[in-house]
Amino acid sequence: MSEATTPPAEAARAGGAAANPPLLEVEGLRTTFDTLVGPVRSVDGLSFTVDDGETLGIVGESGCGKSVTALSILRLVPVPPGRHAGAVRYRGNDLLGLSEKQMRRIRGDRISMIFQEPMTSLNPVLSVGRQIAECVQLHQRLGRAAAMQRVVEMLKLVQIPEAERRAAEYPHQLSGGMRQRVMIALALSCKPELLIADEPTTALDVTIQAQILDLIKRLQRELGMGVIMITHDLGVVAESCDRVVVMYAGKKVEEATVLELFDRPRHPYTRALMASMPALSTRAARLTEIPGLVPAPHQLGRGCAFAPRCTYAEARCRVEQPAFRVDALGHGVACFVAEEGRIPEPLVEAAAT
Amino acid sequence: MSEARTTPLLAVEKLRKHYFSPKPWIGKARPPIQAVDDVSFTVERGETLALVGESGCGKTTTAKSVVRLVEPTSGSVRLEGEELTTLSAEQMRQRRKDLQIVFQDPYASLDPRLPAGEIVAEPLRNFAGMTGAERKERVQWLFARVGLRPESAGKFPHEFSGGQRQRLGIARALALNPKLIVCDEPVSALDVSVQAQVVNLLMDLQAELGIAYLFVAHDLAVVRHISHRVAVMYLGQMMEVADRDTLFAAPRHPYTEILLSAVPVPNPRIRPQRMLLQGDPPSPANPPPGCRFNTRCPLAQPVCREERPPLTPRAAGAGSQWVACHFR
Repeated sequence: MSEATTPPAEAARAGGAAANPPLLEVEGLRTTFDTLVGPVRSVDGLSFTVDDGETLGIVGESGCGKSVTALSILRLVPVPPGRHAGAVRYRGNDLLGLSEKQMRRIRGDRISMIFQEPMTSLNPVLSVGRQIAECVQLHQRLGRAAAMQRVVEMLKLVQIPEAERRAAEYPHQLSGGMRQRVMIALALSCKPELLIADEPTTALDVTIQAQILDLIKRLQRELGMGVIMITHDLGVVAESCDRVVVMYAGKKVEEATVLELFDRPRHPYTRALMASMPALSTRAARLTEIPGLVPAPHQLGRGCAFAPRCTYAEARCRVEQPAFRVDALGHGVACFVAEEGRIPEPLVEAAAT
Repeated sequence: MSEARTTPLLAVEKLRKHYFSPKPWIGKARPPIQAVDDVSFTVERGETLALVGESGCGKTTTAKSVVRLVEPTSGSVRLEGEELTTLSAEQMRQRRKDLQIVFQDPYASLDPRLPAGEIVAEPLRNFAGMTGAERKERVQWLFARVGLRPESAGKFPHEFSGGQRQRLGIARALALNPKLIVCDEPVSALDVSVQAQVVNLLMDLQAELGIAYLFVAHDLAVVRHISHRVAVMYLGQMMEVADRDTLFAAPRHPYTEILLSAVPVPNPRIRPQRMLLQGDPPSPANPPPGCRFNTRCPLAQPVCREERPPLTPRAAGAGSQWVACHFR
């Protein structure tokens, strides 16, 4: 997928709509930060696409570059320390080439984002209604009254009771789940075509998480938007995503449809991640550990970044980067051993009872 | 929970922790926050009791009250039959040898200016009356036991990763051979791949040394894995206590049922039958009368608003199951 400029597999999947560029196409994205220890590549040659109405999951642990990917798409990475290379094409236009002014017209309007921490991402000195109104007044040129009407409509959409009263309240007066719903209302107020949700439920309790995921899914159906769901929770992935990209140390190591990924995980990291996460159905006496630690991005060697922790690593893995290759089923993996089919198949968790 | 011939390791009875705010100059005093209200449970030797519930339900306050890092408002906490809540500060300090705690945040709970070896040696220095050489040997053993390299004893906390720091916290808790370790969300700050390492370590230590854990967590999958019994809290009160397998296979309290159904299933072929809980929990400063769950409960009847259901045992096949509900 990463080798060709217009991948034929991509066009085929779009189901004949090959003439239209996809909603979002990230190609060879590379985000580098200049630090005291030298340049650090947080995202290294990442490519993927998102279609209208589709949910793409990006999975990985902290430090794998998934949040930087999200920030790079919206050009929220501060540039001096950061640098971008590659392309982020929204309906065919490269966002990385736009001026800040042009970018501002897209951000919050066509592409918007939900952040992980609703407390720190809302403005504490503005009422929540004011914050949502600001967004629609700016982008949709609504008048004050029309904007306030939209605010109440949005708050009702995300199921906040007594929307009129809540609109006048400040973030600290709301509970965590309510704040996250306000964030969603804010992100969706201009009816974006693409929503980036960066760990939208990590700070929330499971019952609230269920409400929020349900809400995002329902709104996606109603508005037909594409969603990028960034998470470390495979349960969230299984429930809400259509296609999944697994990241490790800034690179895509595996990509497949969600059914394919859970049925036939190919990359050793994906498998290890699945085995190490306890599920309610897990009956094993011991969890499978992944030895070692997630590497710091400035300590990466020449070879595959996962090799030091990988059960199947060979001499070649430590000196050479495996290329990302896609099989006939559209299931891509970047691993020498998996590609040659030398990872025993039955390792797949028998927990799917 | 049968009539134990021996006293349980830890018995908590009618524990209450209310936070009172100072009376303002003008106007009425605000009602107290009822963080924990009438909670009772026991922990047996060598077992893991998990305290679960959503944020703000009082599970951490309960755990901290047990170690008296939070002074309970009323109620009793007995360790091997000895009442802890009435001990003097010095007596309590001595008793903490048997009662250690591992904190949630491995970054905030270690002194950044002490080398790792000193952090682990501190309890030994305070209590064990060992010679320097004995202490050093014990620290080396502890490091090896929790999977840290003994050579790293000279490093400072910031030189360790999150998982390694949590191992340090565990080594420190382990230093005096405690009978009970209170684990307050010990793995929730860790990465998934590292979380498995720490969960396995805690289980190995229990098997080897017979330590009991009071394990506070909100991740039900981890709880399902590590605990023997599970206690479910909601808004400062106990809703259900049961053997792990009973609780996960056949939850009785409607809140437990909803909580379990909310956990995402890492299998895209299963579309779980989800019961969505509407709205937010009420404020603990102004809890609803009767059953505290009645405002959000699908089964609620008028009686639930009038009378608080006591936590009572139910006849269940495999293990005991205590439920606080009028209808289940």
